[in-house]
Amino acid sequence: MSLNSDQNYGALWLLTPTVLLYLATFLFPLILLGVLSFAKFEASITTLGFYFDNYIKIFSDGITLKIFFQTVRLSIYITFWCLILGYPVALLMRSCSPKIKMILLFCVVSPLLTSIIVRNVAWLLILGRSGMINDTLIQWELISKPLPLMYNEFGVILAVVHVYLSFMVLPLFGALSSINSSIEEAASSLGAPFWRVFLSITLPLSLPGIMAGCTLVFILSMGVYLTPVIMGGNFILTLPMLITESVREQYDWPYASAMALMLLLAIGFMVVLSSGLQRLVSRR
Amino acid sequence: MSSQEHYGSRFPYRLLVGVVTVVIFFLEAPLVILVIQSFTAESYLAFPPPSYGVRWYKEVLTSEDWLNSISLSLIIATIVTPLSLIFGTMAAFALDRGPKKLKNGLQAIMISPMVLPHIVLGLGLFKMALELDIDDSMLAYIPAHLTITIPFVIISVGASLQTFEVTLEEAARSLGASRFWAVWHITLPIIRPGLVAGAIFSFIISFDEFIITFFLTTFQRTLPIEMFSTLMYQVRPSIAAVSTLTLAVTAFLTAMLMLRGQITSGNKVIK
Amino acid sequence: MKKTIINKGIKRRTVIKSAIAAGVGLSTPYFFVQAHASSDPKVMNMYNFDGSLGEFYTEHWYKPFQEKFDVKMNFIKLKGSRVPLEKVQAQINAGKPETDLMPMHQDQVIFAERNNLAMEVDASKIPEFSNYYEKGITKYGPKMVLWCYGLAYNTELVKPAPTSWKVLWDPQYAGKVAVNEGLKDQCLQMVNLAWKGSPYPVDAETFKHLSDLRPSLVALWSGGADAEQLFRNGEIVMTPFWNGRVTKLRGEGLPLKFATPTEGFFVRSSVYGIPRGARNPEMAHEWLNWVIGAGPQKKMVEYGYGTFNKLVEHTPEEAANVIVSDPEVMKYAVSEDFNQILDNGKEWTDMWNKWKSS
Repeated sequence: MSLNSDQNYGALWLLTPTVLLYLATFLFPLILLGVLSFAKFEASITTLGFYFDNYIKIFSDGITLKIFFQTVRLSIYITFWCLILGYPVALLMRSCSPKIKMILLFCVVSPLLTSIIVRNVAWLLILGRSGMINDTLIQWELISKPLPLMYNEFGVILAVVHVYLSFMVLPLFGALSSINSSIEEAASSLGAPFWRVFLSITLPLSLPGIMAGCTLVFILSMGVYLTPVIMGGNFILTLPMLITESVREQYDWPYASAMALMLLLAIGFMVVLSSGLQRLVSRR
Repeated sequence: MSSQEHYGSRFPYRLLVGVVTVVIFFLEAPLVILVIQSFTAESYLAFPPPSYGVRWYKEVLTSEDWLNSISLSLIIATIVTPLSLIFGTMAAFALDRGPKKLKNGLQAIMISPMVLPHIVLGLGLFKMALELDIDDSMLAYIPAHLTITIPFVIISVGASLQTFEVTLEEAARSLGASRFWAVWHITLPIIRPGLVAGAIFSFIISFDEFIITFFLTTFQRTLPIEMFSTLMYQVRPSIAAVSTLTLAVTAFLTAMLMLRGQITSGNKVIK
Repeated sequence: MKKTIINKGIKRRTVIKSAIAAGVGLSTPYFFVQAHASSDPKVMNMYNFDGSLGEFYTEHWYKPFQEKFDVKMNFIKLKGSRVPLEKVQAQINAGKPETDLMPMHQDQVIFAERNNLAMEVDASKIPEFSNYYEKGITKYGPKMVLWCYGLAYNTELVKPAPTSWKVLWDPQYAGKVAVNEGLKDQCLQMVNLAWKGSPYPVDAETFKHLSDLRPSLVALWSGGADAEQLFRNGEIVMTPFWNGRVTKLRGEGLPLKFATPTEGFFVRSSVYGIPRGARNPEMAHEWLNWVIGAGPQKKMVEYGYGTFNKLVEHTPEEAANVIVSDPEVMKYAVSEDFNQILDNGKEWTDMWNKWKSS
């Protein structure tokens, strides 16, 4: 591929600072987690040892697994909507003037600039039963009863997409702006209609960006905690909520650790899968 | 530039602009409402506010608690951002230039802190900080925040590096430039959008981090902690005022970074 | 072109450098600040709450004590109303609890006892116990700040005034009620009281009644602030709630009232205990003895929470607010089994989660 496709092990020294940091701040908690996940928690007392109780419970209690898959489903929805809404933005950012590009980029990032808690309060005032939308619709007599816009899956997805859109748009924009536009020009000057150019050139060439963005949003969605708590009216459960609850209310670190490790494993699997796909795509 | 306009005219530009307008409205509406609400003169949040005033700004700006927590959060984020950029960029280079067969595995490892639920990371770090007697101090906050911001730098810089053509750097080196010179003067300017994105993410994530810091702090309070504890008790308009203030600060910093990063010119510098 | 690139390079470097310099400069004071490491006999570390309750504590329970005894108290504000035992446990095991006193919920007291997290108090150092009702005294410290779990309702929209929990299931209020997810054990026991007459056991039947209620529910709220917002936004007219908050909201002009249903309601309090390894247990004892006295306790009654101090007199309005001073109402109070609540916490949570995601 490039001149230095020789097995360049020398470059790996650049990892040193981060690896050293991770040894202390990541590996240690991870080991602690592993040890705790095999401990036993009975009558409020944690006994270290080598018990499989926590793992057995995950697979046998009939609720943890279900919530895990529910979290996966929710994350897929969120990722899907981020892609659908984010792609047009990235596309426009690529082909507009620098000033507009800056403004768009800023708009996309701006939800991240407010605290997650406050953002959700704002949504409450818009989507609530007597929020702006329902009030207006009732005033115009379009509906007679308020629409359930939050305290359900819709509300959670909306609020999460709102903030994670930026994690989709930035990689997409990166990928799109690295596409050499002369290929597209050539195609369209040869008379190919825009959708044809889009489907056969722009979209495939932006695939690395799509993969990166989707992976990022999916992973982050798997860890989402506070938004479902507020926007879901507590009806929507995610695995991080279960983990937090177990720690905060039952002080049951062993079970929480086992769930956290499972979550980590699942996400790790996703990352490896997606970077494999990414490599496949970039080889083409 | 003209070529792009040519392409653009072929694309159903209006449709695109329409869709994006809706998306932008969706993104900005809650923020606008938040800002408006921060100017309420009432003691609770409602929209539109029955009366307006700067009462809550006065309260925030004269409250020692709020000011202390804002400055602590700003200081942490300011230290964390450059460090995380340096660590993360180095790691991204290592992944990009290192042996290809190790790349996937290593990348997964390097970004894995991102996926660990914060409450769990928080506990582990907390137990360690207790042992080392550094809890409730910067020596604990900064490594903790770095751990969760570095993956974002690795991802955004990595994405830029992936599209970067190494031949440019090789050309410079074949003309006698040192590797460092080539990276500093050719590679870094080109991957600038990735660096800027990484810096923005680092700053914001550090600034907004709640759970891990919650474990590590005792007497010191960062802004998210102060906000959360206020909110747990009562949803007061001071929250909206603080958010508007921090929105202004972070928006300013982000805008500065974007302008500095010239994210819009991107990789056109060389072309 | 080369020139501009170099220029930018320098600028970038300058920016990074100055950012680091500014950060290091500004942050030095934060690096080694460790207030809790001090073991000065004149200094005590303590939790405080946020909002108006926190202001109350500062004004009536902390400031006067510091002035009177010429001592200093440092405060850690709680996030919510519970001491984070998941964190404090690790601190105590490492030999350095962050405070010298901790207000524990009753299930937390049992957890603390089983894990040996709290010191037994020395009753000889708390002579004020003689004016305290027997049931307000535990070996880990006095019970204080009594509050009730009953039914809060909007007086303009809920007529006549409810006397039974079953009104939550009344179809005319469907879509305008909520129940609590925070302290869900109380919610589950409440359902049992309403339909089974006794708070235990929590079983499939309990959840059947909750399922009947579900279509009517606007939300399962987590904390008092959420419920308050639901009332303010007009999203609900009624929810099981805590009396102290209702008193406060009525004071702020909301048309709310607190009812104690005849099937039963719950009274809870906090035990103020001394964590094992506390640096200044002497002063903790001193504060406990002072604060359970009639003066500070009367202030708490004025604010809206009940007391175990025998000497405190209630005005009729205060009695209506604190509930617990009126024997006529208290005959409906149902006592809770906190061992059961703690031990079944996980099982109840599982059932609760299954119910939610069904």
